Amino acid sequence: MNELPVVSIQNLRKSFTMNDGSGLLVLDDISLNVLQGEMVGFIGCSGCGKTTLLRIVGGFENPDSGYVLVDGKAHSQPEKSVLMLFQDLNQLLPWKTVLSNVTAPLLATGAAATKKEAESRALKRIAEVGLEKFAAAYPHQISGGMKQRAALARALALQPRVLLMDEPFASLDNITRKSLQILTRSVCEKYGVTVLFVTHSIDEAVIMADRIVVLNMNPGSIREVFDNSGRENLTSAQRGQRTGDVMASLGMGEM
Amino acid sequence: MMGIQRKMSGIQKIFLNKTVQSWLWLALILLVWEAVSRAGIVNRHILPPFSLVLERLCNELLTGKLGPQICNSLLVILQGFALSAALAAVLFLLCIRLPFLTNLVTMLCAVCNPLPGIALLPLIIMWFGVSTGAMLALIVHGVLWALMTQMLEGYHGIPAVYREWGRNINLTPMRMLTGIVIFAVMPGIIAGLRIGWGRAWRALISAEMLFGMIGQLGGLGYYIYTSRAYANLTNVMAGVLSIIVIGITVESLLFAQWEKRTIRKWGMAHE
Repeated sequence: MNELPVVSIQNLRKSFTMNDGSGLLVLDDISLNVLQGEMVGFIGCSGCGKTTLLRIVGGFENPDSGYVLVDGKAHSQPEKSVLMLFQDLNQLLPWKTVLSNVTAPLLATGAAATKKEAESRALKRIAEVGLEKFAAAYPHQISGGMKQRAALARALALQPRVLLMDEPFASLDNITRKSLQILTRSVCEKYGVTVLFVTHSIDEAVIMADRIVVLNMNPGSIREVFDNSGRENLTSAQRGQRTGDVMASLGMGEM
Repeated sequence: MMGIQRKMSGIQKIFLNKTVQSWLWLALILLVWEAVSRAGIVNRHILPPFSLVLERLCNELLTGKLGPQICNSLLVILQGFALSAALAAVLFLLCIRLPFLTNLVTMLCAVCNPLPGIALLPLIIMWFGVSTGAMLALIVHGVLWALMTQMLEGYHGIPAVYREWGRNINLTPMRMLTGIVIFAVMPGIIAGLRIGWGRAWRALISAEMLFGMIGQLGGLGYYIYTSRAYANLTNVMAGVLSIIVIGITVESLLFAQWEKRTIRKWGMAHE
Protein backbone atom coordinates (compact mmCIF):
# COMPACT_ATOMS: atom_id res chain seq x y z
CA MET A 1 0.00 0.00 0.00
CA ASN A 2 1.37 3.38 -1.07
CA GLU A 3 1.87 5.55 2.03
CA LEU A 4 1.00 8.88 0.38
CA PRO A 5 -2.58 9.78 1.25
CA VAL A 6 -5.01 9.95 -1.64
CA VAL A 7 -7.48 11.94 0.44
CA SER A 8 -6.25 14.31 3.09
CA ILE A 9 -8.88 15.98 5.26
CA GLN A 10 -7.39 18.81 7.32
CA ASN A 11 -9.08 20.63 10.21
CA LEU A 12 -12.52 20.74 8.62
CA ARG A 13 -15.05 22.92 10.33
CA LYS A 14 -18.57 23.51 9.07
CA SER A 15 -21.60 25.25 10.52
CA PHE A 16 -25.10 25.91 9.19
CA THR A 17 -27.24 28.97 9.79
CA MET A 18 -30.53 28.08 11.45
CA ASN A 19 -33.90 29.73 10.72
CA ASP A 20 -33.53 32.02 13.77
CA GLY A 21 -30.18 33.26 12.43
CA SER A 22 -28.08 31.37 14.95
CA GLY A 23 -25.21 29.18 13.78
CA LEU A 24 -25.08 25.43 14.35
CA LEU A 25 -21.63 23.90 14.35
CA VAL A 26 -21.94 20.58 12.53
CA LEU A 27 -18.33 19.52 12.06
CA ASP A 28 -15.44 20.56 14.23
CA ASP A 29 -11.76 20.01 13.50
CA ILE A 30 -11.96 16.85 11.43
CA SER A 31 -8.61 15.65 10.16
CA LEU A 32 -7.92 12.31 8.52
CA ASN A 33 -5.64 10.86 5.88
CA VAL A 34 -6.92 8.07 3.66
CA LEU A 35 -4.43 5.93 1.78
CA GLN A 36 -4.55 4.54 -1.73
CA GLY A 37 -7.04 1.66 -1.99
CA GLU A 38 -8.16 2.06 1.60
CA MET A 39 -11.81 1.77 2.55
CA VAL A 40 -12.81 4.01 5.44
CA GLY A 41 -16.22 3.83 7.07
CA PHE A 42 -17.69 6.75 9.04
CA ILE A 43 -20.19 5.81 11.69
CA GLY A 44 -22.13 7.90 14.17
CA CYS A 45 -25.57 8.82 15.34
CA SER A 46 -28.09 10.54 13.03
CA GLY A 47 -27.29 14.22 12.67
CA CYS A 48 -23.60 13.91 13.62
CA GLY A 49 -22.52 15.38 10.27
CA LYS A 50 -21.48 12.21 8.42
CA THR A 51 -23.22 13.15 5.19
CA THR A 52 -22.02 16.77 5.41
CA LEU A 53 -18.46 15.50 5.80
CA LEU A 54 -18.82 13.30 2.73
CA ARG A 55 -20.39 16.14 0.73
CA ILE A 56 -17.47 18.42 1.63
CA VAL A 57 -14.98 15.75 0.55
CA GLY A 58 -16.98 15.43 -2.71
CA GLY A 59 -16.83 19.20 -3.27
CA PHE A 60 -20.64 19.56 -3.04
CA GLU A 61 -20.33 21.80 0.04
CA ASN A 62 -17.61 24.17 1.14
CA PRO A 63 -16.20 24.06 4.68
CA ASP A 64 -16.04 27.19 6.87
CA SER A 65 -12.38 26.42 7.45
CA GLY A 66 -10.00 23.59 6.75
CA TYR A 67 -9.52 21.88 3.39
CA VAL A 68 -9.55 18.63 1.49
CA LEU A 69 -6.67 17.47 -0.68
CA VAL A 70 -6.98 14.74 -3.27
CA ASP A 71 -3.61 13.46 -4.47
CA GLY A 72 -2.09 16.53 -2.87
CA LYS A 73 -4.28 19.02 -4.77
CA ALA A 74 -7.03 21.16 -3.25
CA HIS A 75 -10.45 19.68 -3.89
CA SER A 76 -13.35 22.11 -3.49
CA GLN A 77 -15.56 21.41 -6.50
CA PRO A 78 -17.19 18.16 -7.65
CA GLU A 79 -14.93 16.30 -10.05
CA LYS A 80 -15.29 13.07 -11.94
CA SER A 81 -12.19 11.65 -10.23
CA VAL A 82 -14.07 11.78 -6.91
CA LEU A 83 -17.46 10.21 -7.51
CA MET A 84 -20.40 10.02 -5.17
CA LEU A 85 -22.69 7.00 -4.92
CA PHE A 86 -25.91 8.36 -3.46
CA GLN A 87 -28.31 6.76 -1.02
CA ASP A 88 -31.25 7.45 -3.36
CA LEU A 89 -32.32 4.24 -5.07
CA ASN A 90 -33.56 6.36 -7.99
CA GLN A 91 -30.24 7.93 -8.90
CA LEU A 92 -30.11 6.27 -12.33
CA LEU A 93 -31.63 8.26 -15.19
CA PRO A 94 -35.02 6.60 -15.80
CA TRP A 95 -35.05 7.35 -19.53
CA LYS A 96 -31.89 5.35 -20.10
CA THR A 97 -31.41 1.60 -19.97
CA VAL A 98 -28.85 0.18 -17.55
CA LEU A 99 -26.34 0.03 -20.41
CA SER A 100 -27.04 3.62 -21.49
CA ASN A 101 -26.80 4.81 -17.89
CA VAL A 102 -23.29 3.40 -17.68
CA THR A 103 -22.34 4.46 -21.21
CA ALA A 104 -23.63 8.05 -20.96
CA PRO A 105 -21.00 9.44 -18.55
CA LEU A 106 -18.22 7.80 -20.55
CA LEU A 107 -19.35 9.64 -23.67
CA ALA A 108 -20.31 12.89 -21.91
CA THR A 109 -16.93 13.23 -20.22
CA GLY A 110 -14.90 12.09 -23.21
CA ALA A 111 -13.64 9.06 -21.25
CA ALA A 112 -14.53 6.95 -24.29
CA ALA A 113 -13.96 8.23 -27.80
CA THR A 114 -16.67 6.23 -29.53
CA LYS A 115 -20.04 4.78 -28.59
CA LYS A 116 -18.69 1.31 -29.37
CA GLU A 117 -15.77 1.74 -26.99
CA ALA A 118 -18.06 3.17 -24.30
CA GLU A 119 -20.48 0.26 -24.63
CA SER A 120 -17.71 -2.30 -24.51
CA ARG A 121 -16.33 -0.76 -21.29
CA ALA A 122 -19.79 -0.34 -19.83
CA LEU A 123 -20.72 -3.97 -20.51
CA LYS A 124 -17.60 -5.15 -18.65
CA ARG A 125 -18.52 -3.11 -15.56
CA ILE A 126 -22.15 -4.25 -15.80
CA ALA A 127 -21.00 -7.89 -15.94
CA GLU A 128 -18.76 -7.31 -12.90
CA VAL A 129 -21.75 -6.25 -10.83
CA GLY A 130 -23.77 -9.22 -12.12
CA LEU A 131 -26.26 -7.31 -14.24
CA GLU A 132 -25.34 -8.55 -17.71
CA LYS A 133 -28.83 -9.99 -18.23
CA PHE A 134 -30.40 -6.65 -17.33
CA ALA A 135 -28.28 -4.34 -19.51
CA ALA A 136 -31.28 -3.57 -21.73
CA ALA A 137 -33.68 -3.01 -18.81
CA TYR A 138 -34.90 0.40 -17.71
CA PRO A 139 -34.33 1.34 -14.04
CA HIS A 140 -38.04 1.00 -13.18
CA GLN A 141 -37.91 -2.60 -14.35
CA ILE A 142 -35.22 -3.70 -11.88
CA SER A 143 -35.08 -4.01 -8.09
CA GLY A 144 -33.55 -1.51 -5.66
CA GLY A 145 -30.47 -3.68 -5.16
CA MET A 146 -29.98 -3.97 -8.92
CA LYS A 147 -30.28 -0.21 -9.26
CA GLN A 148 -27.49 0.29 -6.72
CA ARG A 149 -25.36 -2.31 -8.55
CA ALA A 150 -25.94 -0.40 -11.79
CA ALA A 151 -25.05 2.89 -10.06
CA LEU A 152 -21.85 1.24 -8.80
CA ALA A 153 -21.04 0.06 -12.34
CA ARG A 154 -21.73 3.57 -13.64
CA ALA A 155 -19.34 5.06 -11.09
CA LEU A 156 -16.59 2.46 -11.64
CA ALA A 157 -16.79 2.83 -15.43
CA LEU A 158 -15.29 6.31 -15.05
CA GLN A 159 -12.34 4.84 -13.14
CA PRO A 160 -12.52 7.27 -10.23
CA ARG A 161 -9.64 7.80 -7.81
CA VAL A 162 -12.03 8.09 -4.91
CA LEU A 163 -15.53 6.72 -4.41
CA LEU A 164 -17.76 8.35 -1.80
CA MET A 165 -20.76 6.35 -0.66
CA ASP A 166 -23.53 7.95 1.38
CA GLU A 167 -25.37 5.05 3.01
CA PRO A 168 -25.77 3.45 -0.39
CA PHE A 169 -27.39 0.26 0.88
CA ALA A 170 -29.55 1.79 3.62
CA SER A 171 -32.87 1.19 1.89
CA LEU A 172 -32.19 -2.42 0.96
CA ASP A 173 -33.14 -5.68 2.64
CA ASN A 174 -30.51 -7.56 4.66
CA ILE A 175 -29.68 -10.23 2.09
CA THR A 176 -29.28 -7.75 -0.77
CA ARG A 177 -27.30 -5.49 1.53
CA LYS A 178 -24.83 -8.23 2.48
CA SER A 179 -24.25 -9.27 -1.13
CA LEU A 180 -23.72 -5.64 -2.18
CA GLN A 181 -21.25 -5.04 0.67
CA ILE A 182 -19.15 -7.99 -0.50
CA LEU A 183 -19.48 -7.00 -4.17
CA THR A 184 -18.54 -3.36 -3.54
CA ARG A 185 -15.57 -4.38 -1.46
CA SER A 186 -14.27 -6.77 -4.12
CA VAL A 187 -14.69 -4.52 -7.18
CA CYS A 188 -13.22 -1.50 -5.41
CA GLU A 189 -10.26 -3.62 -4.30
CA LYS A 190 -9.83 -4.89 -7.84
CA TYR A 191 -9.51 -1.36 -9.25
CA GLY A 192 -7.63 0.07 -6.28
CA VAL A 193 -10.35 2.66 -5.68
CA THR A 194 -10.10 4.56 -2.41
CA VAL A 195 -13.46 4.51 -0.69
CA LEU A 196 -14.98 6.72 2.01
CA PHE A 197 -18.42 5.64 3.09
CA VAL A 198 -21.00 6.66 5.62
CA THR A 199 -23.16 4.10 7.36
CA HIS A 200 -25.54 3.64 10.25
CA SER A 201 -24.77 -0.04 10.42
CA ILE A 202 -21.91 -1.20 12.64
CA ASP A 203 -21.99 -4.59 10.89
CA GLU A 204 -21.57 -2.90 7.53
CA ALA A 205 -18.59 -0.92 8.80
CA VAL A 206 -16.97 -4.06 10.27
CA ILE A 207 -17.53 -6.07 7.06
CA MET A 208 -16.37 -3.40 4.60
CA ALA A 209 -13.99 -0.91 6.18
CA ASP A 210 -10.22 -1.09 6.68
CA ARG A 211 -10.65 1.65 9.26
CA ILE A 212 -13.79 2.64 11.11
CA VAL A 213 -14.10 6.28 12.15
CA VAL A 214 -16.55 6.86 15.01
CA LEU A 215 -17.92 10.41 15.08
CA ASN A 216 -19.08 12.42 18.08
CA MET A 217 -22.33 14.30 17.95
CA ASN A 218 -22.96 18.07 18.30
CA PRO A 219 -20.59 18.99 16.86
CA GLY A 220 -19.37 16.08 14.73
CA SER A 221 -15.77 15.32 15.51
CA ILE A 222 -13.64 12.21 15.42
CA ARG A 223 -14.10 10.24 18.65
CA GLU A 224 -12.11 7.13 17.78
CA VAL A 225 -10.54 5.42 14.78
CA PHE A 226 -10.56 1.61 14.76
CA ASP A 227 -8.08 -0.36 12.73
CA ASN A 228 -10.20 -3.03 11.06
CA SER A 229 -7.50 -4.55 8.87
CA GLY A 230 -7.56 -8.29 8.56
CA ARG A 231 -11.34 -8.23 8.86
CA GLU A 232 -11.70 -11.03 6.27
CA ASN A 233 -9.82 -13.47 8.53
CA LEU A 234 -11.74 -12.71 11.70
CA THR A 235 -13.61 -15.53 13.43
CA SER A 236 -17.23 -14.77 14.27
CA ALA A 237 -16.21 -14.30 17.92
CA GLN A 238 -13.52 -11.79 16.95
CA ARG A 239 -15.96 -10.00 14.64
CA GLY A 240 -18.44 -9.86 17.51
CA GLN A 241 -15.73 -8.42 19.76
CA ARG A 242 -14.88 -5.75 17.18
CA THR A 243 -18.56 -4.88 16.73
CA GLY A 244 -18.80 -4.61 20.51
CA ASP A 245 -15.80 -2.26 20.61
CA VAL A 246 -17.39 0.06 18.04
CA MET A 247 -20.71 -0.10 19.89
CA ALA A 248 -18.98 0.81 23.13
CA SER A 249 -17.27 3.73 21.43
CA LEU A 250 -20.67 4.91 20.17
CA GLY A 251 -21.93 4.78 23.73
CA MET A 252 -24.10 1.74 23.10
CA GLY A 253 -22.17 -0.54 25.44
CA GLU A 254 -24.91 -1.04 27.97
CA MET A 255 -27.59 -1.77 25.39
CA MET B 1 -53.20 -21.51 2.05
CA MET B 2 -56.40 -22.01 0.15
CA GLY B 3 -57.39 -19.22 -2.18
CA ILE B 4 -60.67 -18.73 -3.91
CA GLN B 5 -60.10 -18.20 -7.57
CA ARG B 6 -62.83 -17.37 -9.99
CA LYS B 7 -62.14 -18.55 -13.45
CA MET B 8 -63.26 -16.01 -16.01
CA SER B 9 -64.57 -17.10 -19.35
CA GLY B 10 -63.11 -15.61 -22.55
CA ILE B 11 -66.22 -13.46 -23.09
CA GLN B 12 -66.06 -12.08 -19.53
CA LYS B 13 -62.42 -11.13 -20.07
CA ILE B 14 -63.31 -9.29 -23.30
CA PHE B 15 -66.11 -7.37 -21.53
CA LEU B 16 -63.79 -6.37 -18.69
CA ASN B 17 -61.27 -4.88 -21.13
CA LYS B 18 -61.41 -1.08 -20.73
CA THR B 19 -61.07 -0.33 -24.45
CA VAL B 20 -63.80 -2.82 -25.35
CA GLN B 21 -66.02 -1.30 -22.64
CA SER B 22 -65.48 2.22 -24.05
CA TRP B 23 -66.40 1.10 -27.57
CA LEU B 24 -69.44 -0.74 -26.27
CA TRP B 25 -70.68 2.35 -24.41
CA LEU B 26 -70.12 4.46 -27.54
CA ALA B 27 -72.01 1.93 -29.67
CA LEU B 28 -74.89 1.96 -27.17
CA ILE B 29 -75.11 5.77 -27.18
CA LEU B 30 -75.12 5.85 -30.99
CA LEU B 31 -77.80 3.15 -31.10
CA VAL B 32 -80.00 5.09 -28.68
CA TRP B 33 -79.42 8.26 -30.71
CA GLU B 34 -80.38 6.46 -33.93
CA ALA B 35 -83.45 4.83 -32.35
CA VAL B 36 -84.72 8.04 -30.72
CA SER B 37 -84.45 9.93 -34.01
CA ARG B 38 -85.87 7.17 -36.24
CA ALA B 39 -88.76 6.48 -33.87
CA GLY B 40 -89.70 10.16 -34.04
CA ILE B 41 -89.34 10.65 -30.27
CA VAL B 42 -87.34 13.76 -31.16
CA ASN B 43 -87.95 15.66 -34.38
CA ARG B 44 -85.50 14.48 -37.09
CA HIS B 45 -84.78 18.10 -38.08
CA ILE B 46 -83.61 18.82 -34.55
CA LEU B 47 -81.82 15.50 -34.01
CA PRO B 48 -80.99 13.81 -37.32
CA PRO B 49 -80.21 10.08 -37.04
CA PHE B 50 -76.55 9.19 -36.57
CA SER B 51 -76.48 7.20 -39.82
CA LEU B 52 -77.64 10.29 -41.74
CA VAL B 53 -74.99 12.47 -40.06
CA LEU B 54 -72.32 9.90 -40.91
CA GLU B 55 -73.54 9.69 -44.49
CA ARG B 56 -73.53 13.49 -44.76
CA LEU B 57 -70.02 13.67 -43.30
CA CYS B 58 -68.78 11.20 -45.92
CA ASN B 59 -70.58 13.10 -48.70
CA GLU B 60 -69.22 16.46 -47.59
CA LEU B 61 -65.73 15.01 -47.47
CA LEU B 62 -66.07 13.33 -50.88
CA THR B 63 -67.50 16.42 -52.56
CA GLY B 64 -64.65 18.53 -51.17
CA LYS B 65 -66.85 20.85 -49.09
CA LEU B 66 -65.61 19.87 -45.65
CA GLY B 67 -62.03 18.69 -46.33
CA PRO B 68 -60.55 22.13 -47.13
CA GLN B 69 -62.26 23.62 -44.06
CA ILE B 70 -60.76 20.92 -41.84
CA CYS B 71 -57.33 21.43 -43.44
CA ASN B 72 -57.65 25.18 -42.92
CA SER B 73 -58.42 24.77 -39.20
CA LEU B 74 -55.64 22.21 -38.75
CA LEU B 75 -53.14 24.44 -40.54
CA VAL B 76 -53.94 27.38 -38.27
CA ILE B 77 -53.76 25.24 -35.16
CA LEU B 78 -50.47 23.70 -36.31
CA GLN B 79 -48.97 27.16 -36.85
CA GLY B 80 -50.25 28.23 -33.43
CA PHE B 81 -48.76 25.15 -31.81
CA ALA B 82 -45.39 25.66 -33.50
CA LEU B 83 -45.35 29.30 -32.38
CA SER B 84 -46.35 28.35 -28.81
CA ALA B 85 -43.70 25.62 -28.63
CA ALA B 86 -41.01 28.02 -29.87
CA LEU B 87 -42.07 30.72 -27.38
CA ALA B 88 -42.22 28.17 -24.54
CA ALA B 89 -38.74 26.88 -25.40
CA VAL B 90 -37.30 30.43 -25.37
CA LEU B 91 -39.06 31.35 -22.10
CA PHE B 92 -38.01 28.07 -20.50
CA LEU B 93 -34.35 28.57 -21.45
CA LEU B 94 -34.47 32.14 -20.16
CA CYS B 95 -35.94 30.93 -16.86
CA ILE B 96 -33.16 28.37 -16.49
CA ARG B 97 -30.39 30.84 -17.30
CA LEU B 98 -31.89 33.81 -15.45
CA PRO B 99 -33.67 32.39 -12.38
CA PHE B 100 -35.10 35.80 -11.40
CA LEU B 101 -37.29 35.59 -14.54
CA THR B 102 -38.88 32.39 -13.22
CA ASN B 103 -40.96 34.33 -10.71
CA LEU B 104 -42.23 36.67 -13.43
CA VAL B 105 -43.14 33.79 -15.77
CA THR B 106 -44.73 31.81 -12.92
CA MET B 107 -46.80 34.88 -12.01
CA LEU B 108 -47.85 35.38 -15.65
CA CYS B 109 -48.81 31.70 -15.86
CA ALA B 110 -50.89 31.97 -12.68
CA VAL B 111 -52.71 35.02 -14.07
CA CYS B 112 -53.15 33.96 -17.69
CA ASN B 113 -53.57 30.18 -17.43
CA PRO B 114 -57.10 30.22 -15.94
CA LEU B 115 -58.23 32.99 -18.31
CA PRO B 116 -60.47 31.57 -21.10
CA GLY B 117 -59.17 32.64 -24.51
CA ILE B 118 -62.63 33.62 -25.64
CA ALA B 119 -62.74 36.25 -22.88
CA LEU B 120 -59.75 37.91 -24.51
CA LEU B 121 -61.32 37.86 -27.95
CA PRO B 122 -62.51 41.50 -27.94
CA LEU B 123 -59.01 42.65 -27.01
CA ILE B 124 -57.39 40.35 -29.53
CA ILE B 125 -59.69 41.65 -32.29
CA MET B 126 -58.75 45.22 -31.37
CA TRP B 127 -55.04 44.42 -31.42
CA PHE B 128 -54.82 42.03 -34.36
CA GLY B 129 -58.02 42.73 -36.30
CA VAL B 130 -60.19 39.94 -37.69
CA SER B 131 -57.29 38.01 -39.12
CA THR B 132 -55.33 34.78 -38.93
CA GLY B 133 -53.01 36.66 -36.57
CA ALA B 134 -55.88 36.97 -34.08
CA MET B 135 -56.54 33.21 -34.37
CA LEU B 136 -52.87 32.51 -33.72
CA ALA B 137 -52.86 34.83 -30.70
CA LEU B 138 -55.85 32.95 -29.32
CA ILE B 139 -54.16 29.58 -29.83
CA VAL B 140 -50.87 30.77 -28.35
CA HIS B 141 -52.77 32.01 -25.29
CA GLY B 142 -54.42 28.58 -24.94
CA VAL B 143 -51.21 26.59 -25.30
CA LEU B 144 -48.35 28.71 -23.98
CA TRP B 145 -49.37 29.21 -20.34
CA ALA B 146 -50.48 25.62 -19.84
CA LEU B 147 -47.24 24.38 -21.39
CA MET B 148 -45.05 26.78 -19.38
CA THR B 149 -46.83 25.89 -16.12
CA GLN B 150 -46.27 22.19 -16.67
CA MET B 151 -42.67 22.62 -17.85
CA LEU B 152 -41.69 24.82 -14.90
CA GLU B 153 -43.35 22.44 -12.44
CA GLY B 154 -41.45 19.59 -14.09
CA TYR B 155 -38.19 21.55 -13.94
CA HIS B 156 -38.52 22.36 -10.24
CA GLY B 157 -39.45 18.74 -9.59
CA ILE B 158 -36.28 17.29 -11.13
CA PRO B 159 -34.75 15.07 -8.42
CA ALA B 160 -31.69 16.77 -6.89
CA VAL B 161 -29.75 13.53 -7.33
CA TYR B 162 -29.80 13.93 -11.15
CA ARG B 163 -28.35 17.45 -10.92
CA GLU B 164 -25.74 16.40 -8.37
CA TRP B 165 -24.69 13.48 -10.53
CA GLY B 166 -24.41 15.87 -13.48
CA ARG B 167 -22.30 18.24 -11.38
CA ASN B 168 -20.19 15.33 -10.17
CA ILE B 169 -19.18 14.28 -13.68
CA ASN B 170 -18.73 17.95 -14.66
CA LEU B 171 -21.47 18.11 -17.29
CA THR B 172 -21.54 21.41 -19.16
CA PRO B 173 -24.80 23.43 -18.85
CA MET B 174 -25.64 22.46 -22.43
CA ARG B 175 -25.15 18.73 -21.74
CA MET B 176 -27.13 19.11 -18.51
CA LEU B 177 -29.97 20.60 -20.59
CA THR B 178 -29.90 18.11 -23.46
CA GLY B 179 -29.01 15.06 -21.37
CA ILE B 180 -31.05 15.56 -18.22
CA VAL B 181 -33.44 18.52 -18.13
CA ILE B 182 -35.30 17.90 -21.40
CA PHE B 183 -35.95 14.26 -20.52
CA ALA B 184 -36.84 15.01 -16.92
CA VAL B 185 -39.46 17.60 -17.93
CA MET B 186 -40.89 15.37 -20.69
CA PRO B 187 -43.98 14.43 -18.60
CA GLY B 188 -44.65 18.17 -18.18
CA ILE B 189 -44.17 18.87 -21.90
CA ILE B 190 -46.63 16.13 -22.88
CA ALA B 191 -49.18 17.15 -20.22
CA GLY B 192 -48.86 20.84 -21.19
CA LEU B 193 -49.28 20.19 -24.91
CA ARG B 194 -52.24 17.90 -24.21
CA ILE B 195 -54.02 20.56 -22.15
CA GLY B 196 -53.00 23.20 -24.71
CA TRP B 197 -54.35 21.12 -27.59
CA GLY B 198 -57.80 20.90 -25.99
CA ARG B 199 -57.89 24.61 -25.21
CA ALA B 200 -56.54 25.70 -28.58
CA TRP B 201 -58.99 23.53 -30.49
CA ARG B 202 -61.93 24.95 -28.52
CA ALA B 203 -60.70 28.54 -28.86
CA LEU B 204 -60.11 28.14 -32.59
CA ILE B 205 -63.55 26.72 -33.35
CA SER B 206 -65.19 29.46 -31.26
CA ALA B 207 -63.17 32.17 -32.99
CA GLU B 208 -63.93 30.76 -36.44
CA MET B 209 -67.63 30.89 -35.61
CA LEU B 210 -67.43 34.48 -34.38
CA PHE B 211 -65.03 35.81 -37.01
CA GLY B 212 -66.78 34.39 -40.03
CA MET B 213 -64.73 33.78 -43.14
CA ILE B 214 -61.11 34.89 -43.16
CA GLY B 215 -59.49 34.61 -46.57
CA GLN B 216 -61.02 32.06 -48.94
CA LEU B 217 -61.99 29.61 -46.22
CA GLY B 218 -63.34 29.96 -42.73
CA GLY B 219 -62.36 26.65 -41.15
CA LEU B 220 -64.50 24.09 -39.36
CA GLY B 221 -66.07 26.62 -37.01
CA TYR B 222 -67.21 28.73 -39.95
CA TYR B 223 -68.60 25.62 -41.66
CA ILE B 224 -70.66 24.75 -38.56
CA TYR B 225 -71.80 28.34 -38.14
CA THR B 226 -73.00 28.75 -41.73
CA SER B 227 -74.71 25.35 -41.62
CA ARG B 228 -76.63 26.53 -38.56
CA ALA B 229 -77.56 29.77 -40.37
CA TYR B 230 -79.22 27.62 -43.06
CA ALA B 231 -80.83 25.48 -40.32
CA ASN B 232 -78.98 22.46 -41.73
CA LEU B 233 -78.51 20.54 -38.49
CA THR B 234 -77.26 17.44 -40.28
CA ASN B 235 -74.31 19.44 -41.59
CA VAL B 236 -73.80 21.03 -38.16
CA MET B 237 -73.58 17.56 -36.64
CA ALA B 238 -71.30 16.36 -39.44
CA GLY B 239 -68.98 19.25 -38.53
CA VAL B 240 -69.18 18.46 -34.82
CA LEU B 241 -68.53 14.77 -35.56
CA SER B 242 -65.42 15.68 -37.53
CA ILE B 243 -64.18 17.74 -34.54
CA ILE B 244 -64.66 14.71 -32.28
CA VAL B 245 -62.90 12.38 -34.74
CA ILE B 246 -59.96 14.80 -35.11
CA GLY B 247 -59.74 15.16 -31.29
CA ILE B 248 -59.68 11.41 -30.74
CA THR B 249 -57.21 10.87 -33.60
CA VAL B 250 -54.76 13.48 -32.29
CA GLU B 251 -55.07 12.07 -28.76
CA SER B 252 -54.59 8.43 -29.73
CA LEU B 253 -52.10 8.86 -32.58
CA LEU B 254 -50.01 11.72 -31.24
CA PHE B 255 -50.21 12.15 -27.48
CA ALA B 256 -50.94 8.55 -26.45
CA GLN B 257 -48.23 7.20 -28.77
CA TRP B 258 -45.71 9.82 -27.68
CA GLU B 259 -46.46 9.01 -24.05
CA LYS B 260 -46.25 5.25 -24.66
CA ARG B 261 -42.91 5.51 -26.47
CA THR B 262 -41.34 7.81 -23.89
CA ILE B 263 -42.50 8.41 -20.33
CA ARG B 264 -44.61 5.25 -20.04
CA LYS B 265 -41.70 3.16 -21.32
CA TRP B 266 -39.38 4.89 -18.85
CA GLY B 267 -41.75 4.43 -15.89
CA MET B 268 -42.19 8.21 -15.54
CA ALA B 269 -45.90 8.45 -16.35
CA HIS B 270 -48.28 9.30 -13.52
CA GLU B 271 -50.98 6.65 -13.33
